[in-house]
Amino acid sequence: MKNFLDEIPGQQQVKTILNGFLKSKNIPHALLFSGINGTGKEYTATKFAQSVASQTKKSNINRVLSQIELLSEPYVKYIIPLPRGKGETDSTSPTEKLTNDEIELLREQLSLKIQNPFHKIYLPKANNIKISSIRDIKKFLSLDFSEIERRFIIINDAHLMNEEAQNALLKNLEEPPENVIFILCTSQVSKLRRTIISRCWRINFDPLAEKDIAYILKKFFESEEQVIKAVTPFANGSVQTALQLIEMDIFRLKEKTIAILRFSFGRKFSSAFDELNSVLGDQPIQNYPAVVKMMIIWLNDLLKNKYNLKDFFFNDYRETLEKFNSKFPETDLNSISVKLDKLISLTRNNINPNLLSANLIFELSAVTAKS
Amino acid sequence: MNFVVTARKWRPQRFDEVVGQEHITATIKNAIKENRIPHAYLFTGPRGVGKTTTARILAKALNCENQKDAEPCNKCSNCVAIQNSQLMDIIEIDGASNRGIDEVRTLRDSVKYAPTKSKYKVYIIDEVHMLTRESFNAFLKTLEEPPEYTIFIFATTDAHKVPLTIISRCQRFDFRRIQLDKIKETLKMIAKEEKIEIDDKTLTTIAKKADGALRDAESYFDQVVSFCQGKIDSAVVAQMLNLINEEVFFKISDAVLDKNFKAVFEVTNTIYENGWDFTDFLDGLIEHFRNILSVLITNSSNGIESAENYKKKYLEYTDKFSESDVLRLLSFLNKSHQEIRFSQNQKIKIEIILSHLIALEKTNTISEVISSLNSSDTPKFIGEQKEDYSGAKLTGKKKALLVNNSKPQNFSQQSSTKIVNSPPTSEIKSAILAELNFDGVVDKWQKFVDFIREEKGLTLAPALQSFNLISLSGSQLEFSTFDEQDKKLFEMHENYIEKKSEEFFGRRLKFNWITKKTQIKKSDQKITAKSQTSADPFEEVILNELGGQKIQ
Repeated sequence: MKNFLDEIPGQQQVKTILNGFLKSKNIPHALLFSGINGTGKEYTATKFAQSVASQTKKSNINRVLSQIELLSEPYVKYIIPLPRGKGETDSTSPTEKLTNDEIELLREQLSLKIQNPFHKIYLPKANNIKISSIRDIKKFLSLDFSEIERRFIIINDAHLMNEEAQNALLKNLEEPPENVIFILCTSQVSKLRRTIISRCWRINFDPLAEKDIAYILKKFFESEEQVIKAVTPFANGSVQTALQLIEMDIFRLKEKTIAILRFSFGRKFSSAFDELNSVLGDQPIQNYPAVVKMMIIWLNDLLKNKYNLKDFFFNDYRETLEKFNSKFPETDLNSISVKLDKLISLTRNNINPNLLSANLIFELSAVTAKS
Repeated sequence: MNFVVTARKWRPQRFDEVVGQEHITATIKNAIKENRIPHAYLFTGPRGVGKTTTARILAKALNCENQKDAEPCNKCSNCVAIQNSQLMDIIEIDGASNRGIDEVRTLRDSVKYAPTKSKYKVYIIDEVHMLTRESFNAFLKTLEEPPEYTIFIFATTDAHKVPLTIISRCQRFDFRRIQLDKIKETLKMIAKEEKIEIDDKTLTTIAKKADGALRDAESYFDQVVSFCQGKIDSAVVAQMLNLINEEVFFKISDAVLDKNFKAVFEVTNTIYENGWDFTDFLDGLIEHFRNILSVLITNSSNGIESAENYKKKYLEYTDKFSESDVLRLLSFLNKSHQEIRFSQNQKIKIEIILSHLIALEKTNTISEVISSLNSSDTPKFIGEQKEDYSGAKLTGKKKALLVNNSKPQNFSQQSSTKIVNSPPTSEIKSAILAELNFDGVVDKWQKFVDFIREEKGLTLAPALQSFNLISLSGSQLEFSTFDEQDKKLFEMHENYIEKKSEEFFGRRLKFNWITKKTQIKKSDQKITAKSQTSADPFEEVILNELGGQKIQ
């Protein structure tokens, strides 16, 4: 028997646990996959579904497996955040009021997801999982198909269910009919109600190792070797982050990060602004966190350099690190990192990007001003 | 047959089997025995403690045909029908999915029909807190006086979201979190019945992780059993439940003592490599420092839930930490705990938090500082202080000096990088106690005003600025004002000012307002000699120094 779980890159621990479940035939009716974005939770969900389905001895197995891969109902119910249609109420079906364009986009995104399991579905204005999607589950549960042995409900980004949707899920999650398995995927467990978490078997996904990210980038996104090598240390175990960094051009980003820091520490505001604006490009809000994160990593490297640790992220820039530390010896790196971290969270408040950049640069230069 | 999770398979079917809620089951059973059955119940409590279960048992017990000692028989046709949810008279509703007013109206209409087969018509509404406000209100009348055969049972985790008008119409039962021992006992019983061998240590681990919820415990139990398949090894269990090795926390607390920044990066790497959850790690770290605090205060390890060898380690910390230090570390950690949840890059964030934690300065109590001042080579120090007695913030250098006086062995060079905002009181007090005369007060008056300005910049400080100080005898400071407004303001804040004066001048000054509108200004300002009062010390000075005469 082919083991579908083996296809998952990395996640040794998860695979062992799931294999344990499969072997003992004790398959729970609700699983909760938690872990940071871009670690292959959704991919694992479909692979696990296939492994469970392949335990049957029925003859239609190949068809079932391919249907699961295609995420098609009634084999799999795939729930994702959807935008809200015009004049939609809680009782209309989730896709009823969407415009044709939106449906088209949804189709396109779904097919991308099916082709490439590491693709992140992006729909504009899809900020939460609608309660109507959750109520749809009830309909799904009430039907029974004799030829399908196990059916799966996969909920992506489960933390995007709002309070009502989460509550609406509770009863079904606790006692679904036989042969239905819930798989919830989320990157922010703390946003789920305790009552939901307690009904599921929770499985934690670790951040991916660098070689696994490299493997995924190569296999599913066909990135170049050199880029992969540059980007993996900064990805923090997340394919999603790696992809964003690739899109922003990692090499340029590194250079610019250092340049911005140098200019703002040296109080050359105008040059710092220019550099920052050029790196933010035309999507300042989306790119801002990534840039600030790079800065934090750089500051962290400075700190490491101070304590004579040798394990840097910016390995190619050792000399610059030294120079920075000798030039600005008195800077309080810790508190500036804390401040930067707070700045990242500001992007969520819909603040004017110019204001954000100004804030960033002045915060940075304020450190050296004191000393 | 398909696998059914333990929580469902072992759902209690009799009141006796409900774990850890004796106070509730006993009450309900007695009520049934004496036939004093209320028409509405409200079951509240945390997740996984048996609310829905008790509701179902209650429905069964009420309708059982040969009910004995208030327990359902689980054999008669009614009981069996209820178990298979086939009885029409027991209606279990998901409050979260049927929350609208229309659903409640339908329900209300159905209430008036008598039960078909059983004695009572029981409505179990689970997750009742999710009903809308309108639905609750539509319910009120029905709930107050339902037909005699109708019983409502509400179950919810969030009783505070249920309107008080609903709560007051129900008999409310608060379910408790289940104690660790009870959870262990139950799991042991289940393991025995299922013929699974599991050792006591693993059970403790599971029960501890479940945090008072039996359902959580049972689902961990299932996971462990499925994962280990027969041979249950506590080390594997710890790995599977992603438990953090307690050694890590000791490493951090040691690093705090030694100011060892390297440990931060080592520990973060260990956590990262083992795939431990960073939030769990912070939770554990907070508990770790709580344990240290508990050891410090009680001087024994009784208040700690930990293995014996760790308890010894905790006891070793008794002399190394001070209570105020630990409290400060704890409050910092608590704040960081909020932040890390929203952080996108938890690994870096944890490094920042930990380095910050280690960089936190040791606190010195006021008494320590004073005793260090009184003890040895202080004169030089006071001299230095005098120039800067307004100082709300001391410079890092001075702080280090101050600190070195008291506890030199605990401080490395790092101390100069962080400046702690210490209250100005202690140093200033001792610096000024020595001499306090009128000139001194006048000189320092501006500084005192600045000191007040820090807290009451808008109201009090401008008023104080315009005060005319007249004289000081003992600790009676006399002054006058031009403006009635200022006087009123002063009267309102008299206590506050006196208190502040004690902090600033080191002696509690009694402020007396002089009624006469004297116009003497402070020493460095232009002095007008219109004063008529002989009590004015300036008059004499002016007359003597400038060789003037009194103009009458």
